[in-house]
Amino acid sequence: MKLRDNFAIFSTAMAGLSLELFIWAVLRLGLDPKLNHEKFMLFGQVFLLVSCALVYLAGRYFIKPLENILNGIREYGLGRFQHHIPSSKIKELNQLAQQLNQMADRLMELDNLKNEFVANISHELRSPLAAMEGYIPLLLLDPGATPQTRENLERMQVNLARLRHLVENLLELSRIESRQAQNRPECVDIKNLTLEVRELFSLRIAEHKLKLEVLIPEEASRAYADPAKVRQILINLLDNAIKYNSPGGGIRISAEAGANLLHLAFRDTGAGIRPEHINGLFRRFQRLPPASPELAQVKGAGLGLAISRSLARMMGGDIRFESESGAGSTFILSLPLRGS
Amino acid sequence: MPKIKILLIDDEEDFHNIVRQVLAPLDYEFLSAFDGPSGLLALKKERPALVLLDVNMPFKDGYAVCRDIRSNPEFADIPVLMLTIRSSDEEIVRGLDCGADGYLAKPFEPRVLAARLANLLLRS
Repeated sequence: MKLRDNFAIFSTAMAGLSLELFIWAVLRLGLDPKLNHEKFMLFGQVFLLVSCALVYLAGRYFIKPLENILNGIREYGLGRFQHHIPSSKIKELNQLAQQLNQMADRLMELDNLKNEFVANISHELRSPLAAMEGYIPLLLLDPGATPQTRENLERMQVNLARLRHLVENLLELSRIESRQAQNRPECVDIKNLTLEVRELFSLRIAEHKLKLEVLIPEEASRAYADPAKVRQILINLLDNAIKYNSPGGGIRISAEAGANLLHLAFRDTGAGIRPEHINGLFRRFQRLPPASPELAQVKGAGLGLAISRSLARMMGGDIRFESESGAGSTFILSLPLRGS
Repeated sequence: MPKIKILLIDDEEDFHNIVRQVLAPLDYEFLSAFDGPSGLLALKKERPALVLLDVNMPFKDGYAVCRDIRSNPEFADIPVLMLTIRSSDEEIVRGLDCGADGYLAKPFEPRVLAARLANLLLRS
């Protein structure tokens, strides 16, 4: 039961008790013998109602600021530091609200500094990285390079590309978190986009001998979203479904339309995810312990799902996870069917 | 016959080095400028056949330089290829809106740069 209701019941009981005492006193002392019985009862009832209302209002007066503070703390917990707790007439509660507001301002400042720092560092890293990546093809053109040298250079190229990918992801994440990234929704043909993304991966799908099915019915092939962001999410989800699959396994992409949302499910036949690991799945830099020795080779920074979910939420959708351990993973991307 | 002149405007010395090496075996003359204003001066003096332009430069960014090139009737038909690390769709659109003829993301394959140059020069 809410504190407010507890308070109201308690106060009502107190009011009733005091009224009873009052009646008892009147009868016992016989202060007004001319007052008849019925009028006396009516007087008592009105007295009870008025006192209840007064006590209830007094309760609200005390409890409302506490509710505001509680609400504020909940908002801050969700990372919405721009929320402001309204001031209160009760001195102590007002001080508490002010202190919390100051704390939130400071947290917002720190959060912005962190985003700026990550964005600046990532930005500064891009030029030297691009220069290094630019030199390697020139070195590979050298006809005097031995096969071993070529292989070493190619490995450097792969590692630099990985580093660039990480830097790009960090930059993207800091853009989303500082709310610089903008949502530009339009009517998107999800089926076309999915087939397009499948083409990007056709080589790797063949390499891993995977079977990929796309089951998108006509009535669930359109969403109202930002095509570039959807594309990025689809790339991340399909990349994961390939990376964490077992050779010769399958991937099924299927869609269905709900009342307001389109649900696009990516189901793979990989090792799945153990229940104890599901909680941290969408956290930044979260990489799960490999389900098999082969999967220990899979490289990544653990940013793909965090970015994908932030992007999906920005567009008014979400990503959630379903799994039976040992029977593969299913990631479900939900997107708005139409603009609000 | 004089060689075809190509001007690179980029604040990063490494990219001058890389582009010079890519162009070396081809029949182009390579010209360098390290910021927007000196790039515009070189454009006036040397009359290159094509400009490679970096976006992210101090003082004056590539978008502004590109607009300056396009607003001058003398240079209006010199092809401009934006050459930059930024490659999000929005940035590409912004580059093309400023009047650039193409966009190439760094790092690039030498063969791709050579093919884009040949293509743009052929059409101009």
